Amino acid sequence: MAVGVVNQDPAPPSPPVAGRGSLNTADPDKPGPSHSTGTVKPQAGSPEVAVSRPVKIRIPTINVSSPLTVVGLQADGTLEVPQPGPDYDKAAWFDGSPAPGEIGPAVIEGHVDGAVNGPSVFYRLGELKPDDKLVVDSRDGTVIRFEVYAVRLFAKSNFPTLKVYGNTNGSELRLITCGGPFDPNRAEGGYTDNVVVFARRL
Amino acid sequence: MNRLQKAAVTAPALSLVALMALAGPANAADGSTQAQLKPLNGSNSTGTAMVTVSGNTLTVKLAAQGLLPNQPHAAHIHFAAEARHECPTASDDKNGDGNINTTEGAPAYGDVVVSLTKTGDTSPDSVLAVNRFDTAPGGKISYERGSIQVNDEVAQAVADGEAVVVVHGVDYNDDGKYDGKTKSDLDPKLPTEATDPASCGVLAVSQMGSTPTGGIETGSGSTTGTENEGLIALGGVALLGGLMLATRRRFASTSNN
Repeated sequence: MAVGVVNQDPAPPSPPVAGRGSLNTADPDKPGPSHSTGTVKPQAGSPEVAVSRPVKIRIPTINVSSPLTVVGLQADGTLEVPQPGPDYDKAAWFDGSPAPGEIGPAVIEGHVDGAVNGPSVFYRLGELKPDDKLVVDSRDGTVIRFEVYAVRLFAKSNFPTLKVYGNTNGSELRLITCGGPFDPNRAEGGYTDNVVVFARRL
Repeated sequence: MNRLQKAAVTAPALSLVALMALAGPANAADGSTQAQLKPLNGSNSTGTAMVTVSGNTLTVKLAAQGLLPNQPHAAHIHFAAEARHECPTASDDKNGDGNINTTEGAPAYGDVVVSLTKTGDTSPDSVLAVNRFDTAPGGKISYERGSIQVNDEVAQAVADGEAVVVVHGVDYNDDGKYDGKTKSDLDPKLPTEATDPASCGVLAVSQMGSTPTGGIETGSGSTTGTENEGLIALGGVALLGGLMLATRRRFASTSNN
């Protein structure tokens, strides 16, 4: 893909653009059996489902096996990302979201690329497709299996917050990285879109 | 009560107030809630709402579509302790006319506790401040307002998932305006079309402890090239690549079926 650019990794794979009819997956707009209408009662961290902190994510299809760091919210309300340093190329669990295995949308993010090492942990995230399997390991040794049901590309400028972070009936995952065209003039960072993988617990 | 007893009672009360002041404004309630707005009264209006509670302050984001364009749409947060904390159903149509007016919906969602005006007062006093509500150009509302002050009871109700968002204004006869013989149950000077609920959603407590704003900055661009020309070209290639992938996956999934 990177024709004409020397010493350049190919641009990361990209899922279909949301809202342009190129969806190749179950639509997260049209809830499946475990997807909520948004009116379910809160269940996050419910005491009967004690799930310990996630420590590792494995996605064999795209050759990902990464320890999980922890991120929170920044002062402006946006999600923190792993900073340059030893954790930059690790995936990160957002500690304001449910732990994977709890009811609700557990959020795990990772960089698509970085200045030091080029392709980063979620470089190939956009290659995932429905029915692909992935695994999250909890600190207590529990292995929690998930299955992808949708892969979408959303413009950061029009990010569908509730579609991605809204309540769910079951235990789900949201894997997020950057994608889409690269706009070097964009103040906040070059990629204009986010790749979001929707998965539900098996 | 003599003076001493009075002092004994008020002193701890005062210190509690002082404590609360020290601890900041977050004592009323804290939390984030979300609603999927579903059509009522045969409208095509859907939407989403997110309300964050911080102490006695609400921040509201409301997005709706499928509304009668270019007409004021009153929108409120409703609550009453004795309400069902739900959206109304057909059984709430007490007068049996086939539509649920705002009053008929009250047993489900309660009273207006916040008026989601664009400017000025947000109290129930502004329930029908028609010139300060969104007029839904193109049938869409994209509303955001912070610093909405509410009392402790309302703050707690929202944080507990017991409040309901309702957007009003239904063009029953599809003639592009609010009219008709039936008058509004809220104001006899208005047609009922102007005030009947168009969509409704319960503000459920979010499963996220806190909900991030917008997208995520997870890339340096190092794999997209370093020259501007290259970047722009690659952006296009990346997109094309995505579409090609999509096509390939469609084939793959077809053959799997």
